[in-house]
Amino acid sequence: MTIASEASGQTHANTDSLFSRKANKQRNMGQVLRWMVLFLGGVIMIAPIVYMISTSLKWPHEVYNVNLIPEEPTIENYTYVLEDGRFYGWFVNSIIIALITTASNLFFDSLVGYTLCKFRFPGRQIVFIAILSTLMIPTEMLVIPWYMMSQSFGWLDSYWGIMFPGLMTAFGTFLMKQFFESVPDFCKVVSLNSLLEPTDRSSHNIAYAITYNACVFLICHARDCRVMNFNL
Amino acid sequence: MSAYKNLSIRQKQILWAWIFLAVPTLFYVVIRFYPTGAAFVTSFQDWNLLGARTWTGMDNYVKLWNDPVFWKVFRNTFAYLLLGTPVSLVISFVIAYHLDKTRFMHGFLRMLYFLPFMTSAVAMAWVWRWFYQPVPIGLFNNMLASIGIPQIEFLNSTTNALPSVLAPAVWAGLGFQIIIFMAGLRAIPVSYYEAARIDGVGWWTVLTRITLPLLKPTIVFIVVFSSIGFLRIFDHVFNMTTNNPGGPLNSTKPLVLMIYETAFSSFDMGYAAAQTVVLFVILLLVSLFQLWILRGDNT
Repeated sequence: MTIASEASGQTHANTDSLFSRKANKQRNMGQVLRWMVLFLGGVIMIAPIVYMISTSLKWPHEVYNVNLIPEEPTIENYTYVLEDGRFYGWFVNSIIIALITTASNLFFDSLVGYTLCKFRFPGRQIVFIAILSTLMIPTEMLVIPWYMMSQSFGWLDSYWGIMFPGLMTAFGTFLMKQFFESVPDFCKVVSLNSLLEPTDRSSHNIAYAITYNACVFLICHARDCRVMNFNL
Repeated sequence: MSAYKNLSIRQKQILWAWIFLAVPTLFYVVIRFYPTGAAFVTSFQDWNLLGARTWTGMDNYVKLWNDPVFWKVFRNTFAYLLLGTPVSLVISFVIAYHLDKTRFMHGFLRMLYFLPFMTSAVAMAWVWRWFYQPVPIGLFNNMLASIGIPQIEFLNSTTNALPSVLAPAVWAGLGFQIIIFMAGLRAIPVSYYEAARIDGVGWWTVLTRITLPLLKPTIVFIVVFSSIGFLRIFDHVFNMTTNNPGGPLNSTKPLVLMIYETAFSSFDMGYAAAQTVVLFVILLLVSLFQLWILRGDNT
């Protein structure tokens, strides 16, 4: 158990014979213990969320009760929110903004990240440092100029006025560039493929998996920041 | 078209690079750099958002230097950085290290740790504030009481409030750091571990001589970004102390909250802009210092 067992079990199979049964048993005990501790930690991590859900099913008089299970569960709170028509409007606002900024981030951040990673051109380093340096700029510094820009462009009181500052993020660009860095050169792979018959499928799969992971991060990140209106 | 065909591969690459970068470059210049310049200019002016701007030179910076609240806030901001970054780094690494070696219900465990990252600070601040309440209703104090430990004033004490506000911020960011660490751990080639296993190397040596050195890019990434996050902490503090933002007695107020209040409660834009310039300089220096320390080591 001292060695990181990677995704495949084959490393185990090769080395199991080296260990005696006793050591094997000990190792399994260690794994069980590790799993239990991790599970316990995970339960602690989601405890506030579980409490939030439990409280949403309580009547007002019971809200500050530490009981996890409500004495008289109710869906009153949910019906209240759903019957109060304003919720749908707010939800639609969030969805529209989240969809458009995420799509824009995915497109532009990956485009810029890819270009900065795989292309060699004069000004590459300057562009990268310039984009990265925007991470240091506190959003509060920009809010007032943004407001005045929206005013002069007539974007006030529109989705566009909220979305425009977050259409591209330095963080996403940086993340994309980092991930593309660990991807074998696309251009080289493609040109090799066109020349040689045995296609290098594994590197395509790796590239796909890494890009996919980067996209998942970006979606989560974009959603989180946009809702708070605090973009990196 | 024939002009394009005559270009060399390298020239084509340069052309395409700049075609791809044209719109983003325009975006960053107009939406990021122009407002930054505007803020620098405003920091030398006196402006209440409606009236005329008047030049005051260094007045805003002198006022900031002599403001006792600023120095309090300055210390708080660094307290968030110096407590938050190492604590979240160590916890997330330990969890990621063990999570990486767990196969059974791996996805489920990972989800448990990642879930807090997806919740919004506004919603969770309510739950955390409730947990911190005194005995009849507060979860933490109830647990302490049941094992006979005296009550702790979490949010109402000037000494405990800052760590209490920091805890939900660390909690919320942990999931992201764990995922990044696990991605870093996965990227380490198995052959190193196999070689170590054949040589019969102990787990501590494997950790300190193989895992940590090869994880360095990931560590640099997490340290720099979480530092920027903790230096710019705002939403957790603002939501945890809504009745008296930054309280009690400014003991939890970070720089960003001070900027927010100066700009949107006092409408003293010049002063707020001067504070943002100071924050910008702090962020720049801290990031460069970290990059220098972490890069300069063993390369």
